Formats: sequence, structure tokens, C-alpha cells
Amino acid sequence: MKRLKTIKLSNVLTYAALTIALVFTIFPFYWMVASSLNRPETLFAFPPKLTPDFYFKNYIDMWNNPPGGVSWWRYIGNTVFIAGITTILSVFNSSLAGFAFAKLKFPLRNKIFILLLGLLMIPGEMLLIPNYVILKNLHWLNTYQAMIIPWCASVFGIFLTRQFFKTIPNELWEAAQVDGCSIGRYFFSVAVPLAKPTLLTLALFVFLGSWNAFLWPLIVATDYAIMPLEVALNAFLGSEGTQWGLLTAASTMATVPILILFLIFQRQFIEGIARGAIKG
Amino acid sequence: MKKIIALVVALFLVGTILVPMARINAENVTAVKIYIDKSTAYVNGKATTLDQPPVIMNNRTMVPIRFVTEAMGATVDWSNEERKVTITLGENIAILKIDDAKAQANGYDVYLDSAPTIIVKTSRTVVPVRFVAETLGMEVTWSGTERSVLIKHSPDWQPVEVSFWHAMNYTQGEVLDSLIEEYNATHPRTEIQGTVFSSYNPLQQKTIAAIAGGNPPVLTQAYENWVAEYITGGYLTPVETFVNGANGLLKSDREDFFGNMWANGYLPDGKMWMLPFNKSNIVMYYNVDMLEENGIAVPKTWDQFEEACKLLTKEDNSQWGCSYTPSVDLWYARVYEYGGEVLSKDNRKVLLDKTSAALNATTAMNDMIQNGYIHVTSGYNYQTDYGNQKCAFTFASVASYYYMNKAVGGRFTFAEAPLPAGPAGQHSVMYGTNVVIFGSTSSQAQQDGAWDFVKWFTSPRKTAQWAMGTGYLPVRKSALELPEMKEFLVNHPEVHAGYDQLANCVLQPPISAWNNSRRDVNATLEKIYLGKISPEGGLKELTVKLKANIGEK
Amino acid sequence: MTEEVVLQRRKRLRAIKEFLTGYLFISPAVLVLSIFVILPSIFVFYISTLDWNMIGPKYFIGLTNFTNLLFKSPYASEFWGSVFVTVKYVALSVPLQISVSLILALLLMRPIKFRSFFRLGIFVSYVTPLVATSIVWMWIFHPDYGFLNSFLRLLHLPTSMWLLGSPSALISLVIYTTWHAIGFSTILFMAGLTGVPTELQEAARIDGANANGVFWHITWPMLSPTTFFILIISMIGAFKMFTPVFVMTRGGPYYTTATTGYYLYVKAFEDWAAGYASAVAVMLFLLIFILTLLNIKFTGRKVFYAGEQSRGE
Repeated sequence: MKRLKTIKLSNVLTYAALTIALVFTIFPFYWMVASSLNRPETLFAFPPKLTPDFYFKNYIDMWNNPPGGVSWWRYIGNTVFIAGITTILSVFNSSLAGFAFAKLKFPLRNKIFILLLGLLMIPGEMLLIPNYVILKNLHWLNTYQAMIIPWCASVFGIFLTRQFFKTIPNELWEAAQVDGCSIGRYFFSVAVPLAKPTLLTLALFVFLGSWNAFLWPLIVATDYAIMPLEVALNAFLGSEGTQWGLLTAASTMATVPILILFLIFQRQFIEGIARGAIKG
Repeated sequence: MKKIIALVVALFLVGTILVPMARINAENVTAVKIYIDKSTAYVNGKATTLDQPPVIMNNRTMVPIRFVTEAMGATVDWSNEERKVTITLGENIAILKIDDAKAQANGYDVYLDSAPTIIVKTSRTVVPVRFVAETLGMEVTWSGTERSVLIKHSPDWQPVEVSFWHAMNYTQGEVLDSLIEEYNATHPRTEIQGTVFSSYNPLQQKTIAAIAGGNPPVLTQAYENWVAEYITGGYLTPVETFVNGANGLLKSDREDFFGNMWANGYLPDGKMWMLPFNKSNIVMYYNVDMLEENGIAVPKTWDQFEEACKLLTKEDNSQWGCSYTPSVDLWYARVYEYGGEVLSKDNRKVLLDKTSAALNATTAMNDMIQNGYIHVTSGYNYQTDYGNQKCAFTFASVASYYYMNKAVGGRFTFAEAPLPAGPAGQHSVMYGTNVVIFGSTSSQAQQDGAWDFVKWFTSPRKTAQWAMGTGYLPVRKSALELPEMKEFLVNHPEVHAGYDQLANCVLQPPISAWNNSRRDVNATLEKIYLGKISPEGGLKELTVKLKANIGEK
Repeated sequence: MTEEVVLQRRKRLRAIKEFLTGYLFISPAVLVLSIFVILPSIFVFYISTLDWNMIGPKYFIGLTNFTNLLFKSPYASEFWGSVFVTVKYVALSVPLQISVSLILALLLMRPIKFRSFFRLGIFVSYVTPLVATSIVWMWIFHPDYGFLNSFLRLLHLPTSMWLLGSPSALISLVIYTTWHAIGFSTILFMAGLTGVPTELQEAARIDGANANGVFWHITWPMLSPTTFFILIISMIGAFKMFTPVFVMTRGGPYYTTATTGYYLYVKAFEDWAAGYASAVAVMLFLLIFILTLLNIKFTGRKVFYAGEQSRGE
């Protein structure tokens, strides 16, 4: 017995609209990769050729002509290093503080927390100049720590972890205390393992934020040797202004790692965004 | 317990005193002092007699060979048939020939001001002491008051590192790198370390950021208006200190620099802070073949230029008379060509609105753009148009020669011409950077090394080499007399324009306010050329902005 | 008796330990935030009273920087110009972004196959680095050889100067940022839509309301906190917007794409007018603060500067 599937017009339209949206969002990535694989003549040809030439010389030229004479490996390494350390420190600091605000009692606890929440209203742009001057006085300008330390604690992170730690039933905590478990041990062996999903989400966002950071490293990193990838890309744009094959190759190289990371952790990313919209 | 602590502390204190002392002795410096026309010389304070006193020939101090070798521990190899002497110290080798001005230093040819020769009276061979000493990695200090030369050397020395920040890329970068390499090889006492930035903008930004961070380079390229900013914190040592110093420039050298380039090194406070380094001006590049095919002569005035563009512009946008990325610099020159000025000579007043010159110049250019004779491009896209023969004319610096060459790729013959003249005459604008030396964070040795390098770089032979390789202009008049330069100019008639119009170049204001004023001018021109405001309106707005920038009430 | 005392002492000790541990635990984060958020927030006000080029001597000039940027030409025209640019940008991009992402969210909530595939594709642009994608869009927007103009030329449609013209430059930026952020707002709308109880929608439908009615009278009002949240976040983001402007237009042509965030950067790190730029920063803060207060008042939500947003994107 054949079952006829009714093809509703509204469904067709839905798929059509979504496909158009998908094409719109994905096409620039396709064009980026295709252009990076095109010969110079193809790039300037009319009408535009949609399929790539698979001309890999762009990548070779791009790789051999990094801005500032510093190898692209170095730029990638810098970014991984900075993002990695920032993430580790940030997750550590935020979870410690979040736990303390959620579970420990100490004077002024709530007042301090509200003060920190208030900091959320301060836009980073306002702090650019004074932070620059503070770093200048610390002699930290043009160093790795300048790109890491100011970002290794975030109110968002504290908020997120506190929210989670509050969900751990108090009885668990009290029982542990009666057993003579020290706070530290409880934190590291009980609370943190429970918080893994939250910490993972936090880590992903901090890592992403650090990887994609531009303005701050731009003004703070004078030496090419310590520049992260985004800043190096901008310098590359400055020195190879009309070489679109090389530029798109470099963009591809800078985008692929994040795409891979995103594909692996897509659920966490999307949930994290959605959660950010829930009432605090 | 206390006794042990006391003992450790005592040892520590002793150590901190002894170790540096040991290190000083281990430095093992030999110092030799010689006096002109005197036979007594001093080696590490001990007197010794020379059989031939040092003499001055052609402004160079000459010393007997044997003295050099014995005092410093260098070895001398003499070849009779070739009348050649090879002096070696460590890895450094100097090769000289009697009565031959050409010598070799560590593999490179060097032209001496004063050739080695034999003094008849004592039949001793004398060699130029500075050349030999520097090639062998020694330090040479001249004293005008004592008429003496102090030469120092130590086998333990590491080269003095001099950081040099610049924005020379592609061909210019290659030529600069090879010159730096040559300098480092022939002057082993110093090591110039070049850091390249992708363009002038990041160079300026990073330099200020580095100053703020407390670690600027020793030497850097800079435009005059940037330098006006750098001196506000006392970070620079004015170049004139070196010009007038022990290793300075003779009067004849100073006057050998092109006048307006030398003047460009001064700031309004009357001090010479900068030395001209890579100077250029704006020329008109044109497609020789395209003009010939269309029977058009090279335009000498802007009216002729407009006529030519009109003829060459095609309706279907496949070809324009000219492609050009609007810039402050051409506009600046044109204001003068139309008989006006931008700022007063003391940089305190805006003169744009005092005559109709600026308005006429801007309107004329705008009309050509609105009529489609000029295709407005952004960035370096004008080179793409030019190379693809979509236009016959464009405007760029003489230093863009090799970039243009690359864009053209041999498809047609191209050449440079002086900027077309306006009603009030022909002018171009002086372009390219000077160099400055940072004093507050560099040691004296580093500063001296930096100065010696730029002094060498701007010497006639080297500035000619730089010009021929990059398209920049030489900074010395005598460079034009060198045979290689003459030959180059004969073989490359297409690059004469920059030289021909050099005397007519105007300088842009050397004040810090000019930095963001340039951006304001650019923005105003953009607005006018996009048709969003009339030239009068645009210039009025610009005048207000400039007045605020320079603080005119 | 002694047992009680011992118990009390143990309790007190534990309480003290808890105090100390509490402070210890929050100290790293609080230390960093104090030095790099609290301190500079106060410090910026001081710098805004100076005439200082970052490397030379400081000159105290009181409120002159503020009077300049508020009232005095040409500073005022530059500053208010940047505010105006931002407002124009918001007026163009926000309705576009909200409507498109809402439609997409509604479509994605329907019973369709491959939902996560579509959602993924739409969201990808949001996580990718701005400089890299700005470069690609610059190439797409290239007036002579870029894809868009070539495509238009194929269809015999008029081409645009895109990033080089006005107002096309601002429109290009709107296109780019919409492309970048569409995934973000779609996800938010989807989260908001899940909060709309389906019973209400069904009840309305039973009562005879058609799809349109259900949407406008049930769904849309219930979404208003989410909508307002996106509105405020977008507006705040617009004022701060820097990277796309810096990479693609440099504020041009003639400052028509210079947002206040970009203007702040130029004044601070290209002109090195640290004092004046700090005054701009304070004004920027005030503008954003007002928007944030509005957000809290109408939605009760705190604004989250998650990850990249706090870095001056």
C-alpha cells in the first residue's frame, strides 16, 4: 500500500527560504576558498568563474611572504598560546570565584558580587586608553601578558559558574563538611567535576573571544613576533593590498581552525548563546 | 647558623664586586692613540716611535702599515708584483693597492677618498687609518682639537646592535637589505638590524607605541610631522649633533646634499633633527605607446593634460585618460602650481582661503573627475588599471617605479614626466622619509653606529646605488657625476622626470598637526570627488578644520 | 560543658576558615578585575581632563575636551558625526537583522528535516574571525573585480561602488554585519520562541485565529523581551563597532562610516590625542550606559558582554 506524502506549499517555501539563507551565509566561505585557489588572471576575469582552478601557488606564496618576516607558524602559535593560557586562567579564576560566591559565606559577599555585576555595564572601549597607560607603567606593553592578563577574569564567567554551583544541593556540601573535607578538596574533587559542561562552555567562549580579538592586540603588540593571527592578517592586508589570491588564502588559513572547533563543539556554542538570553 | 649566613653574604658581596672587575679586564681592549705629524704614538698608554708619522691626505688620516699591524695584532701580506697589501685581523680582511683608490673590505669594493701611497721621504707605505680600522672591526675616534685619532679594539667585542625600523618592502626592501648587509660586512663593529613594516602607517604607529612602551628602536624612518611629535618627550638626539661631531660631515659634504632635501631635515625650532634618507617626488607616469598611437604629445600643462584625457576617455568605461587614487600630496603641489599656499611659512595660519588658487586647483581636478576623464581608484588599484592599459596617465612617486614595472609586465613602454604645470608654474611635492636617531633609550655606541650607517648610506656612491635600485632620488648632487649614475640615466631616460623637477619641489608642513590634517584633506577630497559637496563648500569646511588643527584662532 | 565549648570553637574556626577561603577564592578574579576594569574606569576620567599625546608632558585642561567634542567645531562635528553614523547604521541594520532572523527562527522551529544542518550553516558566520571575513567581503565588494559587481554586470544591472561610495559604504557594512550576526539573533529568537507556551497558540487557533493572528497577538508580544534585548545589544554593538570599519573602510569615504568606536580608536591611537580620546570614551560610556539602563528597565536582563564583545569588536 503506497502512502502519498502530501507536499505542502508552506513546506516547500520553508525549505526554499532556508536554503536561500544558507547560501547567503555560506557563499562567502565558498568564495574565500575558491578565490584562494584561483590564478591571478581568473580573479580579474569577467564573467566571474565560480569553480576554483585548484591553483595552490597562492598558498605557497602566502606562506612564504608572511608580514613582518615572521613565519605564519609563529602567528598561529601565538594565537594558540594566548588563547589557551587566557582560557585556562579565566576558567580557573571564574570557577573559583563563582564557587565562593555560590557556596561560601564571607562578609560583604553579596555586595561584592553586585559590584562585579555592575562592571558588566562598562564597555571595554572606554577602558582602552587607561588600560594602555596602566600597561605602559607596568612595562607590559608589547608583551604576551598584555594580551592575556587583562582578560583572565570575566564577570560573565563568574556569573555563569556561580549560577551552576548554586544548583549543587547544599546537603552535599554540608555532608562533606561534617566529614572533615576541606573546602579546597571539595572544590577540586567534587564541585569542578560536576561543573564540567558549564566550564566547557565557558572555556569555548573565552577561547573564541581571545582567538578573534583584534583591537586590543592591535594596539598592544608592536613586535611582529608576538602578534596573534588576526593582527597579522591585517598587516598582511596592508602589504599585499591587491593580491587577492594570497589574501583569501590567508583568510582561509585563519578561519579553518575555528570552523573545525565550532563543528566539534557546536552544541555548546549554540546553547551558550541561548543561555545568555535567559533571565539572569 | 648566623655565622654561615654572614659568610654567604660576604662571599656574595665579594663576588658582585670581583666578577664585574674580572669582566672588565677580560674585555681585553687595546687602545692606540696617534697624532698627526707626530712620530710618537701611544699603545695602551705606552709610548712607541713611528718611522713615519701619520699625515693627512685628501682629508683622510694616513698611517704606516706596520704600525697598524703591530699595535693591533693584525697580519699583513704583501704582494710585490701586484703592489697589493692584505691586512687580516680575525675574520676581517682589508685589501689595498698602492696608488689605487679602489680597495676591498671583507669582499666588497670600496672607493677610498685617499689611496694608499708610498711616502718618498721615508719610503714607508701609508694607508687610510679609518678604512683599515673599520674594516677590521675597530673603533675610530677623531679629535679635531688634538688632531689625534684614537683606535680601540678587543677580540672579545660583540658587534654593537643597532635596530633600524623602516617601511621598505619588495624591491626597495631587497636593495635596503643588501645595503645593510654590505655595511655590516664592511663595518664589523656595528650590526644594523632592520625591521620592516608593511607601510608607513604601521611604522608610525608602532614607533609611538614603542616610545610609550619604553623601547623604541635606535634608528627609524620618519616623516617630518611624525618627528614633531617624537621630540615632545625628548626622545631624539638631533642629527646635527652628529653632523657637527667627531665623525661628522665636512662643509663640502653638507653642501653636496640637495638644498631642499637638507632643509627638509630641520624642524621649526631651527634644529636639524633628521637626515634625508629615501627622498622622492611625485611624477606623472604615462603610457608611451598609447600616446603615440593617438598622436598626443606629453602634456606639459594641466590644460594640455585635460585635453589629452578627454581624447583618450572612452564612453563605455573601457578606458580612461587617467586612473588615480586621490591623495593629499598631488593636491598640495597643485595648490602651489595655481599660485596659492596651504599654510603660512610659520605654520600658524591657514592660507587656503586667502586666494582663489586652491579653489581653482581643486575645481579643475574635480571637473576632470566628474567628466569621467579621471577614474578614481583606491589603494594601489590605479597600478592595476595602468598595467592593464585602461588608462594612459597616473600619478605616483618616483619610488613606485619598480611596482609600476611589475604591473606593466613589459606589455608596453612607459615613462615618467614632470607633473604638468599650473598657471603659476611647475611644482611637485617632496616625498619620502628622513631618518632620526633615538637618544633617550640607546647607548652612545648605538647612536654613533646608527649615525655612521646613515652617513655611509647617504655618501655619493651609496646613495647612487640606492637610487638606481629603487627609483628613489639620490640625496647628493655629486652622485649625478658618478660614471655609473650617468650611464644609468642614459639607459633609463624614462626616470629623468623626478630629477628634472627636483628643484621645484615644495615641502609639506613639518608640524605634528599636519598628521591628522592630511587625513582631513583626504576626507574633504573624497567628499568633493564623490560629488557630495562642491569644491567651495569642501574647501570652506577644510579651512575650518585646518585652523582648529593648527590652533589658529 | 567543655564539649560545647569545643564544638563552638570548631564551628568558629570553620567559619573563619570559610571567610578566608572565600576571600582567597575570589582574590585572583577580583584582583584582575580591579586593576583592569575598576581602576581604568576611574582613571579614564582623569585622563579626559588632560591635553596629552601619550609620550610627552601632560597638561591639565579641565573640561575643555568635553566642551570641544560637544560643542566646538570641528571636534563636535566629528563626534556628533560619528554618533549620527552609528544611528544611521542602527536604523538600517537592526530592522533588517531582527526581521530576517525572526523569520529564520520561525522557519527553523517548524517540523522540518535537517534543522540542525540549517541552523549550523546559518550560525557559522558568527564564530569566524572578523578580520579574515572582512577581507573576503572586501574582495566580494571590490568595485572593479569583485563578485557582486560582476554578478550585477552579468544581469545588466547597475553596479555600485560599495565600500568606496556613499551611502553605499555604510550599506556594505550593514550587509556584512548582518551576515555576521544573523546566526546570533536567530538562535536567540529560537530560544525566545521555545519560551512561548504552545498551549496559548493552540488555544488561539481553536478560537479561530489564523496563523497571522496567532503571530501578531500571541507570539510577537511574548517575544518582546527577546526582541528588545537584541535591539539593545545591536545598538550597543553598533556604537562600539570597530574591526569591520577599520579593515574595510577606515571610516571612509570622508568619515561616513566612522562609528564612535572607530572615532575613539583614531583619536587615541593614530592621532595620539589621549586626553581628547578619553573624553570620547567617557561619552561613549554614557551613551551605552543609557541604553543598558533601558534594557534592564524593560527586560530585567543584564547585558552580557560575552567573550569577544568586550574586546572592542
